[in-house]
Amino acid sequence: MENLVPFIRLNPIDNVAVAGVDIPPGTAIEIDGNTITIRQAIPAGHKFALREIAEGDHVFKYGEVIGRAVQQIQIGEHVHLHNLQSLRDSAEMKGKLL
Amino acid sequence: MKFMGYRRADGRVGVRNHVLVLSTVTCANIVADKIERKLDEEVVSIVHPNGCGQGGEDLLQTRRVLFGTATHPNVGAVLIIGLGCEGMDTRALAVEVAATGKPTACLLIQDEGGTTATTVKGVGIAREFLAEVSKYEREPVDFSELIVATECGGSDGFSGITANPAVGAASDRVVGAGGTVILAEVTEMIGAEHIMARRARDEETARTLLDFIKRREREAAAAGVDLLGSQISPGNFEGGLSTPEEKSLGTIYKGGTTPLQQAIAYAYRPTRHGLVVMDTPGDDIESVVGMVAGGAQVVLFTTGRGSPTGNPIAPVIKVATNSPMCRRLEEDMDINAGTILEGLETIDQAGARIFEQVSAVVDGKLTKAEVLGHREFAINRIGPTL
Repeated sequence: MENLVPFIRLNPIDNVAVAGVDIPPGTAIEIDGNTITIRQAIPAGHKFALREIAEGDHVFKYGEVIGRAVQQIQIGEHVHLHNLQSLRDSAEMKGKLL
Repeated sequence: MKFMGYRRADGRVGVRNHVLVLSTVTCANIVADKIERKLDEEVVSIVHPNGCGQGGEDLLQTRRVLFGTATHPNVGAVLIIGLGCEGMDTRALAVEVAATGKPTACLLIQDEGGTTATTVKGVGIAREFLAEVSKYEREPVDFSELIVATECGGSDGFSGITANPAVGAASDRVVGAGGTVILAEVTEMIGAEHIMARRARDEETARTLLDFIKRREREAAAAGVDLLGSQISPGNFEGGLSTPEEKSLGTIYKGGTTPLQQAIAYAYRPTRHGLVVMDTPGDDIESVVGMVAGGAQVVLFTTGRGSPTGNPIAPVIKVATNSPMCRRLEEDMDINAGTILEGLETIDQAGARIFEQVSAVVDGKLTKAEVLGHREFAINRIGPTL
C-alpha cells in the first residue's frame, strides 16, 4: 500500500487505483517505484489505470473483478462507464451463481 | 488476547452492565419510559411499536429480538413490562429470560392496577437491580467471547474506499484474535453475491447466503422494487462507481477478507467464530438491533453523510468516511477514516486504530453515541399488522 499520496490502491493485484482528491491531467504518480502520468482529469473517488488493460481483460479493484474493459485502456487513463462494463448477466457469469 | 468483560450466569460475556426496562408491547411503552425517567436514566428503557396485532413468523421474529435483547450479556438485570392482553406472551417470555440466570422481573399493567401502580413498583424493582448489578465486576476474558457487528448508514462515494476497508482491516484483526464479526445488510450484497459465496467455508453456507439474497430480491420485486436496478444509481456513477460488483464490494469489505463461516437469519446467535453474515435489511437501525439481539456486544458503524445512531444496550463506534463531515459532526463521530483519502494514513493503519478503539470501548470507554444518549431501536417486521 503506497503511503502519503492522494490515491488509494485497495489491493496489490488491482490494475486500477482511486483518486483521493481531484487529480489534474499530467500529474505524475509514484507507484511500486515507477512513475505513471495521469492522462485525463480524475475526479476524487474515480478510478485510473495503473497498468495497460487490453480490451476484454478484467478490471481488478479490492483484489476482485469489478468488470471487463470494453476497449484498450492506457496507463493513467480514467476508468469508468465508457471503458468498463459489469460482468453480471454476461456469458462469462452464467452458471456461476450456483 | 484478552479484554475486560462481565461474565454472566449463562457463561456469556458483556461489555456493559445495564439495568434494562423492556416493554414487550406498544401499550406498555409509557410505563417503561416513566420508570427510566424516575431513575434519572440510570436504567435504560426500550420501547417499540410491536408486540400485538402480529402473527406467524413476524410475531416469532419480534419475540426473538425481545428475547435476544433481554438475555443480552450487556444487560446485568432486566425488568420486563407488558400490558396483560397483548399478542406477545410476555409472562412466558420473562420465565424463559429468568431461566438463563439473569436477574429478571416482570410486571403486567393490568395485574398491577394501572399506570401509576406499575410505575411505582417498577421503580422499586429497578432500584434493587441497580444495587445488584453494581456488585458485578469486570474480569479478563478471551477475545473469542467478542462479537462485533458492522453496519454502514448514510453512505457516500468514499465509504467503499476509506471507512469500509478500514473497518474490514479491523474485522480481520478481530477474527485473527479469535473473535466473531457480523456482516449484515444482505440487500447491499447484490452484485457481489458470487464473491461472498466463493468465500464461504462450505457449500451449505454459500447456499444459505444466496437464498437470503434471492429471497430479499423476490420480496422487493413483489413490492414493486427492482433491487438490482436500484443497486447502483446516477449519484453512484457521479461518485466514480462504475458497476454493481464494485459498489457491493465496497460495502461487503467491512467484513474483511477472512472465510465466511456461517450465514444466519435475523436476530439469531452465531454458533461459529470468525466472519458471519446475518440476513438483515438495509435499514440501519433494524439491522443493528438484529445483530445486537444475536449477541453482538459492540457495533462498528461507518458513515459518509453523518449518522448519529446508537443502540440502547451496545456501544456503537462511528467511523467517518471523510474529514469535512467528521469535523462538522465532530460530537457524533468516534474515528475519522478520511485520513486515508488525504494520504495521511494507509487503510491498514486506520484499521489498526479502529481495532484499538474497539478494544478500549469493550473495556469500558464510552462512545460518542453513549455520551449523547443515542438509543435508536426498531425491529424488522416481516408480516402485516393484523
